[in-house]
Amino acid sequence: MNTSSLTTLNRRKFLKASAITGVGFSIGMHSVAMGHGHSEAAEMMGHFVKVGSDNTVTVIIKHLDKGQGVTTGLTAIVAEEMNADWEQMRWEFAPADATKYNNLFWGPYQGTGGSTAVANSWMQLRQAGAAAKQMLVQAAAKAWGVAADSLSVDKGVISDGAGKSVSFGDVAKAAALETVPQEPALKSPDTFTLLGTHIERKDSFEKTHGTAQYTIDVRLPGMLYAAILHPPTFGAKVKALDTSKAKAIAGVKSV
Amino acid sequence: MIKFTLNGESVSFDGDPQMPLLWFVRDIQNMTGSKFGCGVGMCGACTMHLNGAPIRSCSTPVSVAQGATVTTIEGLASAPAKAVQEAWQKLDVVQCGYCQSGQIMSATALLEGNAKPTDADINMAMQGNICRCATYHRIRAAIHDAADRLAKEV
Repeated sequence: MNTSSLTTLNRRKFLKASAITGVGFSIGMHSVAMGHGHSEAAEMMGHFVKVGSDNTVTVIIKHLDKGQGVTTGLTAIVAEEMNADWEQMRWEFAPADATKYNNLFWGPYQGTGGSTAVANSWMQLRQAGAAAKQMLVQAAAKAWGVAADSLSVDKGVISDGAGKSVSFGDVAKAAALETVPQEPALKSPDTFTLLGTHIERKDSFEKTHGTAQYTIDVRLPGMLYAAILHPPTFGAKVKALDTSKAKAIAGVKSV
Repeated sequence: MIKFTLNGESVSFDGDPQMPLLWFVRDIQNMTGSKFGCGVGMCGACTMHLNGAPIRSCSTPVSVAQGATVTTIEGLASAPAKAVQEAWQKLDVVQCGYCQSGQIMSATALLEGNAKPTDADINMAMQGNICRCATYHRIRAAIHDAADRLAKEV
């Protein structure tokens, strides 16, 4: 498969998958606007972006990290579109929910592989970030009684160019009442300031302090452990199986 | 009854003395920063300090810790440890990170005993810690960076 046909296929799959999931992103604070479902930590609650009144912006990461740096890369896409400050960016892993977090190249499946994480998330997260920024700017514009397009955003600060400014956190609560734009204006790539530069990983602290959670660290009530015994040679066949000694070990449920 | 100090706290265990120390720490003390990798002391993911020396806790019976002081990644507090962790972050050492608790424990033990290790010293001290992401070149650079930090602090 040559490059152009791969791109075409991915584009087609992307659009199809987007249609399945609706818009493909949502800042989804309608419940907040209706006065219920209010979240303490995040004033703007969405599938992909949460803006807190503590001025943090949290990106929900729908892919697994296997060392490829997906928590940093996907967070940077949102930060770029929002003109956020890299220091205010946070991330958290998405729950298992393929209706919201499917890999757009794989159709209805949530999954990570084949170098698809950034590529399939690219437009989805740019749109989510752009929508969040637009809502924050609209909230500031309303508060100041000015047109939204007269305001600018730099490093998480919204300014009117004449000395007035607010942080994302200051207007997060008000922004949650704004209508979610369905086609937010995306930045032109030639105006990118974060993407394409060296930025420090966002998951180094937990991975250097033993607090990052891996599959082996998950504890669930009543959880059992399984172990596989491999034969000493390739292609071996089981002739006989004596499980009596294994079953005699305390705590063994089944062999 | 086996009694020892784990990350500054007194702990005791009256089960099978042959049980690996790693199992006691992970499954009974619920400190999961130390990782199970190979289970036979070949990969270093389970490295802890026993009286300051790096050991492979997956193949060390819990009874060996009797009366000793055990430190895991959760209990690191020394100046070399902090320098190592900061250097690791500054140089973006980690990728998947699964082996890095063990790498950091070995690197910290090295710097606690050798303030200015050479590449050869580093290779010797770190050869028991393997990394499937192959972050070795950054590990070595970060150990030098941590040593430089410590030299400036003194």
